Amino acid sequence: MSQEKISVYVRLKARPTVPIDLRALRPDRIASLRNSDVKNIKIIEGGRETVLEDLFDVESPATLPPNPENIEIIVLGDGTSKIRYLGYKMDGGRIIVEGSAGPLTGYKMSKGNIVIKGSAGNWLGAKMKGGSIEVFGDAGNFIGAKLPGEKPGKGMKDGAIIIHGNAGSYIGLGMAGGTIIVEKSAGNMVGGYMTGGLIIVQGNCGDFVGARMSGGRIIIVGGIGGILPSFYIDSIVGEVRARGRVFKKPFAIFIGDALASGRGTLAVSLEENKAILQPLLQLIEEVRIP
Amino acid sequence: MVDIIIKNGFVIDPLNDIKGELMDIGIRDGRIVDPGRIRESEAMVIDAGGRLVLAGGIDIHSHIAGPKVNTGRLMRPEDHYLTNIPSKLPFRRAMTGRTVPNVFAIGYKYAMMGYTLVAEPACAPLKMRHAHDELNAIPIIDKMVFVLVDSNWLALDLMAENRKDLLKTYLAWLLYATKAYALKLVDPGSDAAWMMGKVGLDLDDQVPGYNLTPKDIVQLAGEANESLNLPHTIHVHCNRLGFPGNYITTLNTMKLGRNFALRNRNSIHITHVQFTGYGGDSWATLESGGEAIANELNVNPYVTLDLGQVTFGEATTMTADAPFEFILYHLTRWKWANADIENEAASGIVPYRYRKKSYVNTIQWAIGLEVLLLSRDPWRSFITTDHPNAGVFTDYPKIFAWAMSKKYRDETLKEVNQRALRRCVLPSIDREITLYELVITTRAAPAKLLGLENMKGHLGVGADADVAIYDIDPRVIDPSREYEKILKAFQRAWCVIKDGEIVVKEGEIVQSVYGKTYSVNPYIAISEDIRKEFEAYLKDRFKQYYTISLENFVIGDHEIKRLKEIRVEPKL
Repeated sequence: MSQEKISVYVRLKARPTVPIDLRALRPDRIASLRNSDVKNIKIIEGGRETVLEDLFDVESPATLPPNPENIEIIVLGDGTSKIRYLGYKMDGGRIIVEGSAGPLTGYKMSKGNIVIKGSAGNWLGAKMKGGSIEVFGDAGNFIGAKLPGEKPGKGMKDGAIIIHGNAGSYIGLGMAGGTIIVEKSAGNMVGGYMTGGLIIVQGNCGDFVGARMSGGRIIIVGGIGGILPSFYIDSIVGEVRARGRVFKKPFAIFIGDALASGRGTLAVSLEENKAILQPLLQLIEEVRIP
Repeated sequence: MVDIIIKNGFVIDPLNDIKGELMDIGIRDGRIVDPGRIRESEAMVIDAGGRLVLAGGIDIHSHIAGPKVNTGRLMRPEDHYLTNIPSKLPFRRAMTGRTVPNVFAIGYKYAMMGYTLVAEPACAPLKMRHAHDELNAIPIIDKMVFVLVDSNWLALDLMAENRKDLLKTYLAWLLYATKAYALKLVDPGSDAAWMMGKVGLDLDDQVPGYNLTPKDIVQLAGEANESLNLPHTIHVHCNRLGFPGNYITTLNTMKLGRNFALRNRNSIHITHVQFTGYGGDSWATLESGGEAIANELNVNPYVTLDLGQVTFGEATTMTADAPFEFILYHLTRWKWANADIENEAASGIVPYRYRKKSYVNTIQWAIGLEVLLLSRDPWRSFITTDHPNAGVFTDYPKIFAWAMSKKYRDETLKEVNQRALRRCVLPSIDREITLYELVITTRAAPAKLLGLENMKGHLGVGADADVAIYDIDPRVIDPSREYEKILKAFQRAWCVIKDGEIVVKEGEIVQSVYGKTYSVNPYIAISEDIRKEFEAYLKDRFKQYYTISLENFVIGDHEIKRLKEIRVEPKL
């Protein structure tokens, strides 16, 4: 039943100077369209409405298959980081960016797969409901986040975001489910206001880890800037496993955030954070004495 | 400005006693003239055959400007995300926001519904410059702003010392200095108490620091208002707003109107009565006090009231009743803004969502409609949502349809909390208000209440040419069965004319004009001796109380885009 993947190549004609809103270009929207229709998809360049063909060379078969799962959009060219809203509300298929992607990539996506070979901008996978995003470079702030002003839990609901590089601040702000994995370091406020889901930072991260979290799980494998006083220390464990990844070293497990009456768990590596965790470890030993 | 003639429209005009006639309306130089004087060949002819022609609507209570609206915008970015409508130059600018829209959206959306005069009901005197700047930026509609006086230390001092003439002069000066239109009392005295750390006052409680009760404040302000002969009455937001069982306080406040009535008209306006019409003694046992309030309204000719009708959905409560917002924040536990304004007032903002399945929200929804349907005099009850406190103003057509159609009410009754319906009388009310009564409550009566009945709210010769034409034929449509048509027609007017210019055509803005700002100036007519005495007193006290100088406090005429000052003759 499974057909061969059909690739649609979209190459920037020239380096753009203004942001390009490419929210209309997504596999489920172009499924079963003809080549000429794809070229006439409406996009926004700066504040001006135009068509895809104006800014991009489009290479696609005469007719696209009806099933979006078989469509693969490949975005190429110099200056792809000016493209925003790529994969907006995407519902299947795959988008590959052979360079960097701009802000709001994968915003509210519910299904499918986005691969970014370069870096990603801010708000990557914000409010996403499913699917997966893989970034080979770095990513910006507010990954899988809610928008400002919204209630906790209005962020990412499900799906997975994997970043092989570093990430900025506020990752997983207000997330309710799904997984975010950062293989290098992250900035401040990892998992702030989160109500569910999992965040793994394999490198270091900044201050205010899990501030106001009320659920979910955060694993910091490297060093942290500091632990908030509203987190209770629970135990020390020898290893931590999550989503098939095993981290074989001692971790301190915290529960918090008490300010939000939270029941979230925060695992912090012991070795890298000895100076910060030393006073808290004594608390655990005191409990063990009787 | 080209002459306009509206032909063959079905006109309802209660102030001129026209209960639905096919008539022509002539418009010249922004005023309504005898259609016989306009030559058709030289005028723009609008064929309103089979359509309803009314005067422009008037909203007497809607928070559209001032620092609290701006703070509401700042603290609710999520209110704006999905509501951006790009500009369509040169006709209109971009719109955004739902419960706290930007200034352009406020003007355009009101105009699209056929409303042409809106009153911003509360602003502290110090913040009045901001309110006027924002009002200046609101397109199309005419506007006015009421000034807060209930917790103002200068006013409270004069009240406590019982210097009535000086108090009247001070209030007259305040209206002149802030270019306001009427006096607003918000939970009288409770902001003065709030600054001392006390939450809420009842009508007979002592205001801390003063030998006064809220009852005295209402009484003295009302007396001053009547003897200054102001066009509007005092605009009162009752004590204990938002507390279960507060309808008794509201009834007692309504009864005060009798004590200071001097003129041949009503003397007290009770605003958003839904919030002050709760029976029961806790949130769990909340009951509707709508019937009691409607009964009092029917026997007490000194009172007018507006509803503050809940329409379900998102809202942003914003009021100068700071203690109530403090309590509401602890119920919702999400966001809260609070402000004290030197010695004048306090305020608070809390976002809120009215849910159909909620017991409390259902009771709140029922109270407003009960008051409207049980009151016998359409000239004394007005439809508002206290925008954005109980709902947004764009939901007015829903209230019209609920009032005019038992069928629509029944459909909504099925969706709301059933346990709550046992505590209110709404399910047993069969009354459906007629289109004529609706026109009274939205056009004629508000114009009369604001004392503008010679220029607003009617289509007689000499009135301002504010006309709304709706694509609905009352001779064919039965509002009680075809409520969808009512909803649709009143949501988007077919044509709106403001000051003789066509601003809306088929529900779209086709031109942006700027309306007038109404203010009232009783100060200029007060005798020079009293003014001299007052100015000497004020200079001293102002320096003592305020952080700014008196010269910077007074708002000049040039600071207002199109000022229309109403002169009155005080009876001191």
